[in-house]
This record gives sequence, structure tokens and C-alpha cells, in this order.
Amino acid sequence: MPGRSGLRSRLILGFISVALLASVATLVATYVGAAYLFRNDQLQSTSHLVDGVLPRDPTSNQIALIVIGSALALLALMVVLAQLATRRVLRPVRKLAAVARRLAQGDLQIRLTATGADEMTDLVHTFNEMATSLQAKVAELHRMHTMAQRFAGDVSHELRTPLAAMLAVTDVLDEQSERFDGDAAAAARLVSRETSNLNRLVADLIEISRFDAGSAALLMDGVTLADAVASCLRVRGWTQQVVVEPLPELRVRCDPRRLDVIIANLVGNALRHGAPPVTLRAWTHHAAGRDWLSLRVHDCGPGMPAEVLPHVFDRFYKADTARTRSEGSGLGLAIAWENARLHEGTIEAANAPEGGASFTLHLPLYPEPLQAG
Amino acid sequence: MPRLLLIEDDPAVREGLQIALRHQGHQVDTAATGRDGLDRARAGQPDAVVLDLMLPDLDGFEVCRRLRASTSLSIIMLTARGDDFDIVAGLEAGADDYVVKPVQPRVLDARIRAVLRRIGRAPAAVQSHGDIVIDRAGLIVTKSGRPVALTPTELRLLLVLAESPLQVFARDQLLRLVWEQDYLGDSRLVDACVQRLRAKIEDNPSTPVYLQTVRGFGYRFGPV
Repeated sequence: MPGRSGLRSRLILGFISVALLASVATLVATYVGAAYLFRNDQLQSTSHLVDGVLPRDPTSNQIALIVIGSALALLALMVVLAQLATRRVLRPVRKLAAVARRLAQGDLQIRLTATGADEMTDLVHTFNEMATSLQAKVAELHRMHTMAQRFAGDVSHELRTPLAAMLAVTDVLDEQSERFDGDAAAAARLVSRETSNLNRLVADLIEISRFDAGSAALLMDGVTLADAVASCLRVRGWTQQVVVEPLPELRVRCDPRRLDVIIANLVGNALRHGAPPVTLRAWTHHAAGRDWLSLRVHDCGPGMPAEVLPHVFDRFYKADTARTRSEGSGLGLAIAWENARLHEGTIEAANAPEGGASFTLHLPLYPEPLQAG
Repeated sequence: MPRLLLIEDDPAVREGLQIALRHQGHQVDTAATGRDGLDRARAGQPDAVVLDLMLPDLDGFEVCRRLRASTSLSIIMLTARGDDFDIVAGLEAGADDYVVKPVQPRVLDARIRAVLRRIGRAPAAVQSHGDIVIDRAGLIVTKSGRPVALTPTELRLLLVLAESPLQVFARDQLLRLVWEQDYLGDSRLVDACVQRLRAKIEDNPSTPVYLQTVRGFGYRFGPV
């Protein structure tokens, strides 16, 4: 970290400068004083003056040496003193820095102990007050966040029972609606369709509340990539709408249901918001010391505005604020992202250079356990 | 017409599912409590039970265990999404399959039909593997001469595995072949069914001879 020892060097430099100045001043004063004294001595003893030349005083060089020597010794002493003094001044500053760093890293309980009654002690008190207030604020936010999450989870669970009853009869309603006349048929179809939508929304809310509660778990199994992709598209009736480029022959260790959810949400998003053709491509590569499967869903729509990109995985984020409600629950990409994260993978959203939006899932490839016996 | 028993305590869900299942061509009897469900199962001899796990008196697991103790009918649990503990416990209690509530009636119907599907009888093929004799024509499995009571799902799993001894079947493969589910099926269905089958046919279920685990891949029959 640049400048970490800046204060220390500046303090030492200050001490040394003072020492140097003192040494030089002593030197100059001593020398000038000595020269003046010697001249007075010689004026008083003119009888010794033989040929008009001032005799070279044998002791003046020695005095100069002594003066310079003591100046150097003083300088050395000052350097040592400077070291000690700066260490003493800097120790509490260093401690403060270390504690602040731990606080920043999330150790909100850490406090400094104040000793003495100088400016440093005031700072320590202020710091501790700040930490206490920060801890209280964070705890309060955390409590509110947990409450909101639990509320969403509870509401979703409560909605599930009446929804189960309604959803059960939607097929009957759909089939019978053909015998109804005009408005009644339309009404029956509307109830049926919106029940399915509500069901999807509640299912997604429950799913995301499980991620929030930390109770989402991976049920690992092996699946063949081509099977996973084909089934995902087939059960949703998307086989004709998506161009699947030849996939690597690969068995993937993952939670098959969650992989299906990721692929379905990426493809569904492309079909809803992008333009055809929607293509799906997968490849493997090595990065950061492990093997990865990457799976890219690309559409040929207008792509995403730059201000939307950082928010595409946000919950209920609507790229187009004018649109009141999309076909999806608004949680699809957030759920896909959480599922990727649960696999220690990521999803990357970008505008492709050739145009259109692209979402790329990067999934670490866990080796299939070896077959035994 | 398949006869179903629906055990579900919530009146609206019970009514809704009854309408839907009747509409799909099943004959549906209903019960609101676990005890009533057990009585009706005994009296009505249904082909399959659709069982909600959350019941006011006896919970679904207990109902499942008691049904299993006396019958070989197929049991499908109704569970909440992600209640993994419930799913595992339910499968251990003997359920053949489960669906997550709220369920699309078509999905429930497909699962019911899958567990009820008649097993194709092979013409006069009696296989003998160690102490186990599998009569594919009569659909009878005996161990050391004594018949073993298997549920339709257990029987189907055993027939699939024993048809190709030593061949390793992956869990997703077995899900397709036995449960008629695509790869999204829950592999724990297979594991739980294998456990139950081992308890019935192995001498020592913890060191299985007939149903062997191929770690990380799946299961195979033998070598005996």
C-alpha cells in the first residue's frame, strides 16, 4: 500500500532535519566563536608576532575535528531518538488502522482501549462511538431485512394452499370453456391463465426466499449436457424456437433441476425480450485452475441499454419502466443467478459484439466420481 | 378405471384435486384425516393413494408406514417445494413418488399413471439369480422359495435391473425407465426404492449382493 509508512518517514525526516540544523548551527557557532577567541589571544600577545604572519594555531584543527565529531554524534543520537519517538507516536495510529480494517472487514464488535488523556484518546473514544453506532445500525438493518425476507417467504407459503386448489381445476376450466359462450369463455380462460401466472410467481418467490434463508441445497447428480438442454427446451415447447449449436459430449455433475431452471430462465428471457433467432452454444475451457462449462444464450434483439446491464439480475427489475408487467415473474434471472452461485458458478450478461444480448453461464465442472468395482 | 384415494386435510385443495382427478378419468375417494384415510384404504382397496404429508392427526409419514406395512399399493406424496427433509423422510417411509404442491393436474395425472402402469408380462421367462427367482410371466418374485411382496415400483425397478445383470444403470436412466420421468426427476426416488428393495431381498442390506451400488454412477444387478 503506497504511503503506508509516509507519516513515519516524515516524522523521522523532521527529527533529522532538526538535528542537522542544530548540528550545523553548533558547528558554525563553535567555529566562529573559536576563531574570534583565538584572534583576541593573538592580539594580546603581539610580542610573539615575528614576521607579520599569524602563526598557525596547532589546536584549531583539533577543535574543528572535535566539533564536527560531536555534531555527528549528536546527529546519530537524534536519529535514534527520532526512531523511538516516532514509534511511540505511531503505535496507537497503527493500532487504530488495524482495528479500523477489521471493522471494515465486518468485525463490528471490535473496539479500541483508550489509555491516557491526549488527542489520541479523544480519537479512540470517537472511533469507538462510531463503531457502536455502526454496529447498532447494521443489526437493525439486518433485522429488518430478515423480517422482510421471512414475510415474503411466509406470504408465499400461505398463498400456496389456495393456489393449489385453484390450479387443480384450471384444466377443467380450460376444457369446459369451449362450451361457454363469448364472455364466459373468455373469463374462464383469463382466470385459468392468471392462476398459472400466479402459481409461477409464488413458486419463484418461494424459491428466492429459500436462497435468502440459506436453505437452498444442491442435490448433485450426473446428467448428459445434451439431454439436459433438449429436455429443458422440449418440456417448455421451445425446441423449434431455439437454435442449439452442436454441444460437447459431456456428463455434467450438477443439480439437474437447478441447471434446468438456469437454462430455462436464460432462454425464456431471450425469447421474451430479445428477437429471434435465439441461439444456444456450450463449450468447455480451463480457467482459474479448474475446468468450466460455459453455456451461452444469445438473441438477435437490440441488446440491453448500458444502464440496464448492472441490474439485469436484480429482483423485479424492469428494463422498460413503461411496461407494467412482463410474462415472467420478474425473478427469473435473479433465480438463475442464485442457482449458478450455488454451483460456485456465475452468469455474465453482456451485449454481444455482433449485436443482441448474450447471457453466459459459467459452471465449474466437477469430475464425475470414478466408477468403483 | 383406476381407483384413487386422496388424503388431504385442506377442503379446497381436496375438492380441487378431486374434480381434476375425476376429470382425468380416475375414480376418486377422499379422506380428510390420516385415520380416515387408513380406514378407507383398507375398505376400498384403491390402486394408488395420493397423500398429503401435513395432516392433523396422523402425519403423512405415519400413514405411509402403516399403509406399507399391510399393502403394496402405490403411494404418491404431496409435498411443499424444497422441503427436502420431508421428501427424504416420505420416501424412506415408503412412498413411490412425490409431487410438489401446487401441482398442475396434468403432472399429477402423469405421475399416477406412471406408478400404476401395468408391467409388461414377458412370455414364460423365469430367471434365477442365487436365492432369488423372478417369474416375469407371473410377475412373482420369490426368495428361497418364499414370495416377496413388492410394490409395483419396486418390482419394476428389480425387473429393469435384473434384465441386464452386471450392466450399470445411472440414476437418471432408471428414472426414465421405471418412473417415466425425464432427467429432471429426483434421483432420491431411485435411492429410496433401492433401499426398500434391498430390505426385502438382500440377506444383509448393508452389504448388498443383488443390488449393488456403483459409487457416483448408479446401480447394477449382481454379480451374484
